[in-house]
Amino acid sequence: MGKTILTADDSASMRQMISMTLSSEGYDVVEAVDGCDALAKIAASCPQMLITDLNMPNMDGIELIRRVRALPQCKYIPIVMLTTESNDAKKQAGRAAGASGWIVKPFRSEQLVMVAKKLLP
Amino acid sequence: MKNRNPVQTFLTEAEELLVRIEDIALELNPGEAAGETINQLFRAFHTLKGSGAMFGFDRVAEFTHHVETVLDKVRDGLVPVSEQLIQLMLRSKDQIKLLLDAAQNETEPPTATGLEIITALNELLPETSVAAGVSPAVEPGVSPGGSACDISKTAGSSGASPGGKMPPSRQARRPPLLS
Repeated sequence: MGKTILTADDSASMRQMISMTLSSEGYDVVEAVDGCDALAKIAASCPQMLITDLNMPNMDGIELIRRVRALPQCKYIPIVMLTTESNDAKKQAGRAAGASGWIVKPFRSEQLVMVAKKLLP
Repeated sequence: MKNRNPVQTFLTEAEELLVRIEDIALELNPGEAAGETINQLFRAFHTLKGSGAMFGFDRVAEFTHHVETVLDKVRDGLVPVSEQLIQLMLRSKDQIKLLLDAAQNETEPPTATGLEIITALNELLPETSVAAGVSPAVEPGVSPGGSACDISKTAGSSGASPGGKMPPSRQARRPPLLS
């Protein structure tokens, strides 16, 4: 059975890069364009891991993390946020909302794979 | 139609974002309060910076970081929406276009205009925040926090090569978490 990772990012190129990278490692990847889209897709079937951008329209990453953590079936899934170095306050907010950790952009595809394999072996 | 290469996808995305930036900038009125329009503008530049850095457009990321710094202050109400700000958003959009074109054509972009815009942007900032406008934007790294620190340490020692597919400028740098 494949392991499903949901990635939420409003940048099409980021979604594609993440999806290609993780798919090639055998993960099933579901893409969402913002927090609302992600939440709808998570409600349909909770993924085993969430990778989310923070700055997104409609619902940002922090709010998404908070709402996902409130779902009983997603209480313990790893949640990784993608952020930029200048966003210290956002990192803290993300952790407070329940994120497991973060990856700073720009990152190498190998780094993404390492984190995925560690959190979702 | 979907590009198979994320870099091509980014270039298409960047074109769309630049059009959006122009549309938004032309809609702004001097003196108006920061709201969703400014948020949209911030996000457009933020994506150009973040995704630009991801796909090797370091000059775009570095330049855009200065725009983002100003827009962050506008969002916080510390810098007003002024005619000057609007003009600088439009000039920044043109500059980013030049940087993208130069990267694609592998030519040197004109730097004088970029520096002039950055100087003008920094002049909009409140005194104390100018120093913070110096760009750390393109430093890469993985910095999982909390319990994930252990994760990243383990991940870092698992033998992943710092080489791979990324440009040389990025290979030399190590993620800060590995210290």
